[in-house]
Amino acid sequence: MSRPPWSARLLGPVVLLGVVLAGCAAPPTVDPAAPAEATVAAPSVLPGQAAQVRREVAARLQAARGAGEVDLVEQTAVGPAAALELLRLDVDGPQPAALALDDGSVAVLVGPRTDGWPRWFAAVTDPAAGAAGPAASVPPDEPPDERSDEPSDEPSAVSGPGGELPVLELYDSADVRSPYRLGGRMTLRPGAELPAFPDARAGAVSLADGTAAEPAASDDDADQDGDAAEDGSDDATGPGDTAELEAVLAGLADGYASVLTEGDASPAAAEFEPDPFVEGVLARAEAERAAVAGVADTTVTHAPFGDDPVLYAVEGVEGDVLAVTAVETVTTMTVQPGAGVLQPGAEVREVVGIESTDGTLTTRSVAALAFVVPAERGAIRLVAVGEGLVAADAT
Amino acid sequence: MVPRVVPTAVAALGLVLAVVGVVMLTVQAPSQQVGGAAQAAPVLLTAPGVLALTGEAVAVDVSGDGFVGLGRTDEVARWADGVAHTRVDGVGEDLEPDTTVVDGDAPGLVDPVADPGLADIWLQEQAGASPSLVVQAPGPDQTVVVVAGSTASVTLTWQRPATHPGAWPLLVGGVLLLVLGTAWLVALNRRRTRRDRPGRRDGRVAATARGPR
Repeated sequence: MSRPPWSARLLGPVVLLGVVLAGCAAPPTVDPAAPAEATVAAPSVLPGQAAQVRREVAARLQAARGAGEVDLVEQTAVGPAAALELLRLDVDGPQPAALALDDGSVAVLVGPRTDGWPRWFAAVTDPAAGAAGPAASVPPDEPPDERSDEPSDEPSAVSGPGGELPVLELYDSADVRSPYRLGGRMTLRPGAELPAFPDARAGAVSLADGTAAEPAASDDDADQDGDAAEDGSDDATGPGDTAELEAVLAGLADGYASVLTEGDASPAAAEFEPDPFVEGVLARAEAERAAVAGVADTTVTHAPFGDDPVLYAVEGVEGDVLAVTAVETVTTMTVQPGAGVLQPGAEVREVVGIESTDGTLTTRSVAALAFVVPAERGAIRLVAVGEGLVAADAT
Repeated sequence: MVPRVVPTAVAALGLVLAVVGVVMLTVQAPSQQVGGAAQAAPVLLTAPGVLALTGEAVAVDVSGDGFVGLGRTDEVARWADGVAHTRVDGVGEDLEPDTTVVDGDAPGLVDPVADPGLADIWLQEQAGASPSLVVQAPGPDQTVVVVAGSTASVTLTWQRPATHPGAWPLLVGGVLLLVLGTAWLVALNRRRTRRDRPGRRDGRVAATARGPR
């Protein structure tokens, strides 16, 4: 039998090739992508979310003021902000024409890294941008290519055209199913400088979230609050500094309350930079005493507001810490028997509802205070204040 | 001598493979979308990684009143903790959503289903009549949640720029075989033509005629 020609022998492999190629033609399949393992906790809020939260809180607060509903206020505000709002509600009742908070542009957004609740974030308004509605410059919510602790290009504080000062707003969410509530609004002091914070899409290191008596003291908090040792090597505060910093933060409200009471004579005076707010409070207390001298005895006490020494604290890129606390001031004026009557000022008169008293007049005010604790642990400086009367009583 | 049937078969096979390749790229091209309808009843959420199934945009459409939200997977898991829901685990061989019903337990602090928009965990959200959401570039750590009535239907559609993986090899291989077979046939024809040329036949005759001299 003769051997077939080479070309005939080629036919077999060619057919085989065709069959193999056809065999490649399996239908494409789709498989779920493996979720990325998060090595660093995400920030509590992304810029787009923050803008939405601020709009919603402003709308809810306006609705609560309009309806005059205590429940609505308590669902929308917490801490010092709630105390201030509830007093206004108590005095003014429903305010259908109430204005909404400005939910415009923010110059700085600070979202602490966390994977749990409660959580919070801070926003510094940008009065230079005007109240032109939601921030057009809010960056998208895509995470950055690399989580970087490089400071953002955003200015730390800016003033409006008419010298209007930026406002530091705090928002707090108690649990995953609850909305953010307004925790406080503090006006930045003229010339105040905030620490530089990491990009808002990367998040900053949280040191306190207002839930623990000692900041980041519990194991859970140590995990979820992004303590320096837990959260990566890019944090400015080393493990050795943490205990010292916690002690500084824990004593912040007590120390400042002492300074407000005693001025330079306070043992804590050296811990704080001298600031006009302390001078103003001391001068006001002295003026009130002088105004009623011979008629009433006046006592003024300052003490930390609420149960937590520090409401919120977050670390900047260079290790400076922004810490927010609140101090309650109680002023009691007791008329000396037969010495006359006290005539409260307009604001207090509006709350107590009487023109004068020959008994005791007590007023309570709360000041939300934002401080910067320098990385080198120098003098702590006050950068923002939001204060107001929260109660008054006359007997 | 190679029979003409061999190159003819090669060319024919190439033609068939090329046609099959073209058909796979056109008429029989795989769908550029996968997915389909699923029941929320009343909560539906996608399992980790499922949203990024194809790496392309995902559309979520709800028939009827409801809520659609996009959130981080870990936060959504906390939000849905203890809530009965339908979980989309992927896409089955029929390219329809593959779902699992997850039983709930005691409700948490707040019934999240009553007002899912209350939570501030959503990166995108839509609520109202027939809400829909398009997630342009879903990440593997993102999850979609749908809350809707029991009669509502949820349609999840993943974009998929897919081509049949064998189509181009078949087309290219087929064309090569077709060219090879055709060239082979042409070569055979030329050889035969040269063999049958009159000049060569005359030469043979002439030589034959010269032989007896």
